[in-house]
Amino acid sequence: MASHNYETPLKSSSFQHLVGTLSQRRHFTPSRSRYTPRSAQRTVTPHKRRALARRNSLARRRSNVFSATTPRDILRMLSRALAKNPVPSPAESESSERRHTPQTNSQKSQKTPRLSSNKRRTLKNDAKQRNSQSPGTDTSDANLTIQSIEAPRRAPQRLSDFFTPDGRRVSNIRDSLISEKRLENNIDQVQESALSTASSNRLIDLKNDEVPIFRIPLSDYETDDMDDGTPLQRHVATLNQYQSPIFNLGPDILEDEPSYSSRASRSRQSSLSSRLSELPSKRASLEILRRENTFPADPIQEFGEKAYNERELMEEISNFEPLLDDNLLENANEAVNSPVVDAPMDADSALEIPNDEDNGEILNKLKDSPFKKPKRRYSKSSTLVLPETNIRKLANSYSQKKIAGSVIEELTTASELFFKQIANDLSAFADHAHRKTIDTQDVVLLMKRQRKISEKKSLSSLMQQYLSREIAPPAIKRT
Amino acid sequence: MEQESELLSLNTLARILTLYFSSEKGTKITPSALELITQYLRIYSKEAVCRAYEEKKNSIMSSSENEDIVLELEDLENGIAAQLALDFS
Repeated sequence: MASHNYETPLKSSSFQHLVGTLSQRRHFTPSRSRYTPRSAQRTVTPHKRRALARRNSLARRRSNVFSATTPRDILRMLSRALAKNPVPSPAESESSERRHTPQTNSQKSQKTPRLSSNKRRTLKNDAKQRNSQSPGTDTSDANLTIQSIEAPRRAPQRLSDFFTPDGRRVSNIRDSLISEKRLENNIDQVQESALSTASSNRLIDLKNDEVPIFRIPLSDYETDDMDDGTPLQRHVATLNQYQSPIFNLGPDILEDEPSYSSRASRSRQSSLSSRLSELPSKRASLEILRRENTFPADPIQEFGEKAYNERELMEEISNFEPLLDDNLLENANEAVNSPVVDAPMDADSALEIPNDEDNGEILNKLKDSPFKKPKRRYSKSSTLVLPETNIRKLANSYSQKKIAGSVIEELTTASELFFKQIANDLSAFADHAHRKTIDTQDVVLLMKRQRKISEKKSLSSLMQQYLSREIAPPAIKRT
Repeated sequence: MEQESELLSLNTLARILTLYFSSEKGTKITPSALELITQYLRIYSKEAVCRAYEEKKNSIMSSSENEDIVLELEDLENGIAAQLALDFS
């Protein structure tokens, strides 16, 4: 490259020389990679490794947080879809890639306009080198496009294959110990900002990000990026994250519900008969009986899980007897006593007895039953104010020392007390002001009460001290 | 009760309180609020004395029970002051 630069001023005018060198530079800087495509693809620099691992972790993070999709995802999907047709073995793809990547580069260079003779010469040189590198590059065009799209995409994928979860963990531990700080400050930021959605929160969060591998989410409620930023910000993030799994689930469930009643009453027979064919007949008939008689949802849930034998069935039916109509009872007994083949028919006849309107409500109630699980989970998790992992991360963000489990417990209780008191105080303040919503004023008053704000220290100074500048100051009414 | 209320007159209390009110706003206080504050102060001082007494009693339990317990300034300072301030903050 240097030799070309020296040649140009001798043969051309000064202006042309300027143009030539500029174009050369523009041309050469991307094409540098052409001379070391193999090495660039094969060698795994620590930066690259980190970037790849980070990207993987990003993908994983996205699976938890539904909304985060980048335009890159589309491209990635496209490339994967394209790659599906020719699926070469790793070795094959490597060899083919080696053959094809120079070709794509040559195509690219042909497209670029040749501004000067100098440049053409350099291109010829390039072509020579290329030919020496890769003889017999002519292949079919379709294959080539696939490869050219796919090659850069697949290379990271293959590299990521090297890092199986175990190996990745080991390598990253080492990596983090060696060069965490350095990487945090340059390459990761760039990579992440390019890869992730450019929401301000996340960008802020990424500054001091940990090693991605350590953040394998332990629970669904764990938030992945909350290591940086101010306490307020983090709190907001945690709240958002905390709500998301539950409240995203809720509406989806509820959407189906109203339509279900009408749809169910129409298609009940067919669906149930199909279900009957799946289930053992006696079980199914009992299930239908229960549905008709508005039994609580729980036995049905248990019903799917437990395996009932005939004796238990009979016992249960006898327990339900006072609730049953005579017709239903007859049908049930028929269903139980009759041979297996006849049972579905009886069950269907039992189905037809009550009218549909009653069933709509019942079925609505029953529809709720499968979704008791998330509710239970929610109540279980709400016994703690914050998940333990979140508290651990919060604590770790202020001190780099390790933290014992007992300390985390203590922190949990302390934070619970703290939040309780804050909530009580805020509600008391709002009550005092004859309001039902807690206002900014109330929070300001609370801080005044806690002596965080005094005459010597205003709220704005506190904000400057603790909050990052990106956060817009809350609108505070001056009374 | 009447005797106790005479210990701290409402006027004095109002005077003390208005010292700490911001002067430009001209905050006033109603007599009923003053009454309430006196009650609160009474509870506060009672609580302080009681806690100091308990502390003292626990500390000298071993030696002799019959002796009269005399509360001193140290008793107030050592054991209970911090907790009391926290509880009545």
